[in-house]
Amino acid sequence: MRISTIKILCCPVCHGRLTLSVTETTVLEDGEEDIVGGTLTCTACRVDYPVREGIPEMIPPGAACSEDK
Amino acid sequence: MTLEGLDGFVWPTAALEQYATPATVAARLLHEADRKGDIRGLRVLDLGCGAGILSCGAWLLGAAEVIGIDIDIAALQVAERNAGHIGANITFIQGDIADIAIPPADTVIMNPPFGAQRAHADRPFIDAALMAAEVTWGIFNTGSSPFVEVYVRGRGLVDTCIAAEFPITRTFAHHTRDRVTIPVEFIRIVRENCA
Repeated sequence: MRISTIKILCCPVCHGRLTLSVTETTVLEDGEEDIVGGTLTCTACRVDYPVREGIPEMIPPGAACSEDK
Repeated sequence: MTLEGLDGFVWPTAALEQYATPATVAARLLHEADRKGDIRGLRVLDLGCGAGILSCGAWLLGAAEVIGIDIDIAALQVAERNAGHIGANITFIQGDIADIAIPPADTVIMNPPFGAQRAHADRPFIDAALMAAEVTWGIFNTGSSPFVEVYVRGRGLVDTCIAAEFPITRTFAHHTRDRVTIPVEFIRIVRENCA
């Protein structure tokens, strides 16, 4: 995810603002930093959302994927 | 055609009605949307993007920015790879469209679940789309437009309905034929602005 993507994200639990800690980045052709790995943390409820392989995973902890098996 | 070279779902889930949008269907939908001026130069949001076929197509047509959202991380990993294959810079986000903050966009494109496995599975997609963008293009079962019109009444208007065919190759155990073609509709919904 682009670093600017954080502007369009918020916590799906409480809609709080997120802060980003980065563990792995690359630089895109246009010079913007691309986050490959890291963690988004809600400043309000402190829930963590991982960024893995460049994809922010905005699934609340404990929320099962809505699959009817 | 570039879209035909992209990958589909690795582990499709019947309950989520994960039928990869065929490249021909994606291309036709996007072409119709672009003819209305709904793609090029705009911020396009793909709800339930799956393997990102519509997202990649929108980028190829010249969308200024493309964001794809899906609940399935495995599908998103394929989408990320697909975007990489064509050099597209697309933002993919994992989230449930019922609770994630949907970013505002100019146009929503979507191939929502048709509701065959779970009734009204398409409704959260329509709700999210109407909140996110002025214009929504969706792929629905044939005959859906009257129901969509009623469902969005007071929030949006169906102004275009185009008949198309959606080929589905054998994906799940409950499928009895190798390939079927399902008649579908491309529906354009324009948001009604409150005065």
